Amino acid sequence: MSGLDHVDNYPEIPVSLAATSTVLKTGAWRSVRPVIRIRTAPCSAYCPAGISIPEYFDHLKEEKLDEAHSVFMERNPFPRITGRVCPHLCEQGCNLAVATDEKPLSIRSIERWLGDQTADLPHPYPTEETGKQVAVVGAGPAGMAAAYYLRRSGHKVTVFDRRESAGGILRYGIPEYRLPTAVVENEIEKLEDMGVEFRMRLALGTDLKLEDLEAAYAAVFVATGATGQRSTGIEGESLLEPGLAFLEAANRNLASLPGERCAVIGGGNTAMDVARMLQRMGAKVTVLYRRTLAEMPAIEEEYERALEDGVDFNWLTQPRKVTKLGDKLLVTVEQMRLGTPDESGRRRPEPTGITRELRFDGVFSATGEKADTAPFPDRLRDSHGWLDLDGDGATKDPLVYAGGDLATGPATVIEAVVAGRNAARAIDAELGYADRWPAEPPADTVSPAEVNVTYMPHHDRAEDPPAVTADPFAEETNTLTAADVLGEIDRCLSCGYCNTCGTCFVFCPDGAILWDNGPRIDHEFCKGCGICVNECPGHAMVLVNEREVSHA
Amino acid sequence: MIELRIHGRGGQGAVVASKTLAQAAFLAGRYVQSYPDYGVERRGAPVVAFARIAEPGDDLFVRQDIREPHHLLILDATLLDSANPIAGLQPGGWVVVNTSDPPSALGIVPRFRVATVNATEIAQRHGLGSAAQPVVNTAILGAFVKATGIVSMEDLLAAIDHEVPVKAEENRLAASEAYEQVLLEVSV
Amino acid sequence: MPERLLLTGNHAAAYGAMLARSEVISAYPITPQTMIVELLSELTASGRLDAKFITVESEHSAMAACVGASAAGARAYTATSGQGLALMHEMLHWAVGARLPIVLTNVSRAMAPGWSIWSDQSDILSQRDVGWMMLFAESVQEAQDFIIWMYRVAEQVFLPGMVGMDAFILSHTAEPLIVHDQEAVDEYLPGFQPLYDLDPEQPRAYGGLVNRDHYFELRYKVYENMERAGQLLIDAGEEFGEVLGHKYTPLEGFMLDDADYVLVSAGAMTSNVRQAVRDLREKGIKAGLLRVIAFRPFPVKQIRQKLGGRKKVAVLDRNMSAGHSGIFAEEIRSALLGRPDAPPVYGYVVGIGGRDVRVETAHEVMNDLLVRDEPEMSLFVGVKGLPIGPLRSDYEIRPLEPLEVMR
Repeated sequence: MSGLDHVDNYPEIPVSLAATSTVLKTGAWRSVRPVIRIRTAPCSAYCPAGISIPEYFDHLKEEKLDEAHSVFMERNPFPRITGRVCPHLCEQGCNLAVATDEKPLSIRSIERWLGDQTADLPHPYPTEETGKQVAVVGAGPAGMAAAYYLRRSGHKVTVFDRRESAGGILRYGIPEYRLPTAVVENEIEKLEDMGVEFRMRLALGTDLKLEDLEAAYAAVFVATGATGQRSTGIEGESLLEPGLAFLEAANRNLASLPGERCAVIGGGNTAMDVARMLQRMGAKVTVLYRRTLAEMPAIEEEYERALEDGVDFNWLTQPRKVTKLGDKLLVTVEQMRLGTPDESGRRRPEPTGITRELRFDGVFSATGEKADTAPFPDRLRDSHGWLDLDGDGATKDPLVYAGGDLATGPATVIEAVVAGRNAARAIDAELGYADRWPAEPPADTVSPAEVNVTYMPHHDRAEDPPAVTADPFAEETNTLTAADVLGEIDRCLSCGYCNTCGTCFVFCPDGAILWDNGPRIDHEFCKGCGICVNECPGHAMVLVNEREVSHA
Repeated sequence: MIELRIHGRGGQGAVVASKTLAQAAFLAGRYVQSYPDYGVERRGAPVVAFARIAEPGDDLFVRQDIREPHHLLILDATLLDSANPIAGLQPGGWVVVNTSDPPSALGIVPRFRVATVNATEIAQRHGLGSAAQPVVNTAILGAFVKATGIVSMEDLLAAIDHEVPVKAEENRLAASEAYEQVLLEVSV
Repeated sequence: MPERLLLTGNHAAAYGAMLARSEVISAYPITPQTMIVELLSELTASGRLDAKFITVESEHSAMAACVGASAAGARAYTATSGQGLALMHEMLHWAVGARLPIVLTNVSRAMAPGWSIWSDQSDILSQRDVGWMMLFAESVQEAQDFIIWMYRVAEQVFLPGMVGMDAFILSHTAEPLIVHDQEAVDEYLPGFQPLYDLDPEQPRAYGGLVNRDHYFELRYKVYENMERAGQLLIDAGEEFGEVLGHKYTPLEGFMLDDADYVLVSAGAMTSNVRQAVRDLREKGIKAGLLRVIAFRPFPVKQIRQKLGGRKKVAVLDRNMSAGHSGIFAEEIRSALLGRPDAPPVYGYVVGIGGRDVRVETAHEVMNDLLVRDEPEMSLFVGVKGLPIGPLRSDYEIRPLEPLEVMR
């Protein structure tokens, strides 16, 4: 109202001669500006594969199944498999669970639903063939993942495996009630349909020589797993039955019970599988573990299910000696106690000298397997006999890569898948195609202190419902319904990913957030008050100093 | 100027009686006022309403409670015992009471003229209000017209059409029957 | 054609709003105003009144709705009473600052607690300084006509106005009135032309922040227009007589010309004061009546002219500004202050909370006035156990048991 030096020059009411909001560019008042930024959700950060979980959830919410699937497949080609067997580290990081007393999002169950929904969706046949041929040795999860990504990139892929069927640990190591063979076969068929060649009954070191493969293929990826028996240090070890071999026999319907009372030595996921499988075959199973539940490496859910199956646990129990007593096995165990933490951070078991004797019909060892690196020449191994690899699985020989349990020792399926993908990406780059892989998730992870749970719906977590079946070997859980999945996704804060919830639009006091299928900040008028950033449920916005912007 | 006071209980139609009577006089060209002594009214609670009717050609009015009415309408005879409605009534004024008793039975001091009519029975017979809570206002107005002659029956029936929201025909019949049935006692 | 009907004051107000062709009505029911709202909602629902009736959850919102409607160019009307008017207070200021000629009927009742629904001017006079014009009706006819008169002036000065009418004594009293011919009212009151058009194509900010450099000037304009309204009320009242048959003025005198003793009154109780003046004249006392119709703007010049040189002036207030005096008395005194011919002004407080103000009450006041020497600020009439007189100076609080029944 400049120039108003006489009362007669005034309007009758306080009315601006034009809309102040269009004339007064309040953006000039700003010292910081909000920026909508894709950040990493803790679920994605915890996920070994770095799957963009909020992003594909958003697509599911919008009922765009194909888009959700394609986001997922960028980082893990097997949602049906990992959706069933993954230890779901993602859920451990869930900000909702950290910021509230609620349970984390049921991320694995949603992944499983996505996999089942897209089971019949064929993998894309490569649009352009590179003419390069890559050999993959080992048809387990690492080899399958590498095959998928290499083939998708246009390379011709041949997968070799020593067994009669592909799948490796997925088919032969994980019990049917957790991962049905049909699911694994479906994935293999889809790989075949996209042009991956599987050649069975060919073992590396005997039927195949590494140097021959190197000569014949542009690159070789070896992922033959870790199935070798590691010494347990127990006297009379030969009387123990290897757990993994038992699981393979059981998956082939060739296993038989040694008797009613069985023991399983170990506390990992293989120990749980062996114990539960034995229990389901009719045995009464006792797990012997040298530490306590708190230190046990098996995922909690498998332990709980073992309890449900009727498995018994003897904690702080270290078998020392196994002897044959008639048709029974006599196991001498020493009582342990917990001492100081070891390098893994878990408290170390210490002997007490107190022993007792237990009697079983059969005893199974599941204390860890070792990889067989014999087919590799010494120049590719370190002084301990381990393969000498970089982060992508490259050996010293630029054409030879290795990954999965072979490289790491026994680990999870998702880690094997990641190894396969990493090797595929490295091979692809080696073959001259570096630029066609998506960037890694940003290091900037959304912390629990940043999220805003005020506007989120609060309801119970949806979990895979138990299957109603009399068959102990049929799959033990069902997949969620679509309604449950959508309800569960509603709980997702969408950390670091704008899912166009509109909270910023609603709360901006200056109308400086425009809506164009999603929020767009009108920097001419945004005063930089930061309310949008504060209110954004998943903190997919950050405040940036104006000087940083202007100097950038 | 004629000042009237109407005593009833919440639900009997005392306020509408006042307005209807004023309307009848208004139709006859008189200047009128009608108003309730408004309280926090509930069904059954004592209610008072007033009406003023000017002499023909006069329209100068005061606005105050009527303490010394010329006539009374009593819609419920039990009010005679509890509410002292006779207070302030001018000598020679009519007391028109809804009761099945004859005027002589009411024991009202003989300075006043008394008229009685069983307005409850008439209202019930014509379905006015409910059986338990009959609306007796139009019936007692018929009796009042017969007793006082302040307005004509013709104007009363026309006023009922103006002021009574439902059952106009039944209300007119009730007024007419009361007009015929009312018992008059002149004891001044 | 004009019709002569028998209506209550409330229904007359509803007819006034209808005849004025109110386009938006937003009101919240409250005893004793409810019948206004009921009838207007019926009239709008039936289509007899072409208006939008906006139901709201409070009087504050009712006035907010009127503010919005008026700003958008609609003729807006509301009605309320007592606590409802008090709740509206903030929005009353808004209507002034936004210069919106809204008209409001206030059925005046006493303020709670103790809860009271009966006649008392305290509610409307509590809004004395918000900047609304105020008219006090004495009859059912005026309850209707003043709405029309008020719109006529309000829409010339772009200030809102309220019409006060007494609870029950007018609101619930049926008496004959003339319901004007619609065409004649239309001739008197043309359609509302807002000061500024609200145009979504040309957005503007209304009622925004005004800094210290500018607020004073905007308020000055409000005061100027309120002042201007004084003459416009006279002109429009004159014109009302020409077009609609009855002339209205901001002040009304009765037997005033040669009166030595003047009773000043406003609202419905004036009828009884008028009757008392008539009686006094018959007894040979040179009494007169001055009725205040327009309270805002206050007709200062005319009051000086009408009251100058009288022997004594008694002001009857059905209200009280605790700590000072009756509000009409206060205003009359200030209008006369410093005038060489200013008469002594005696303030009388009567009829608080609907206590019957009767013809006899006016007589009591006159009897007291004739013998009293000192013009007291406030003399209380009819407080139980006390003669007419000023507040006691020797009073102390004495706790008593609560009364079982106070009605």
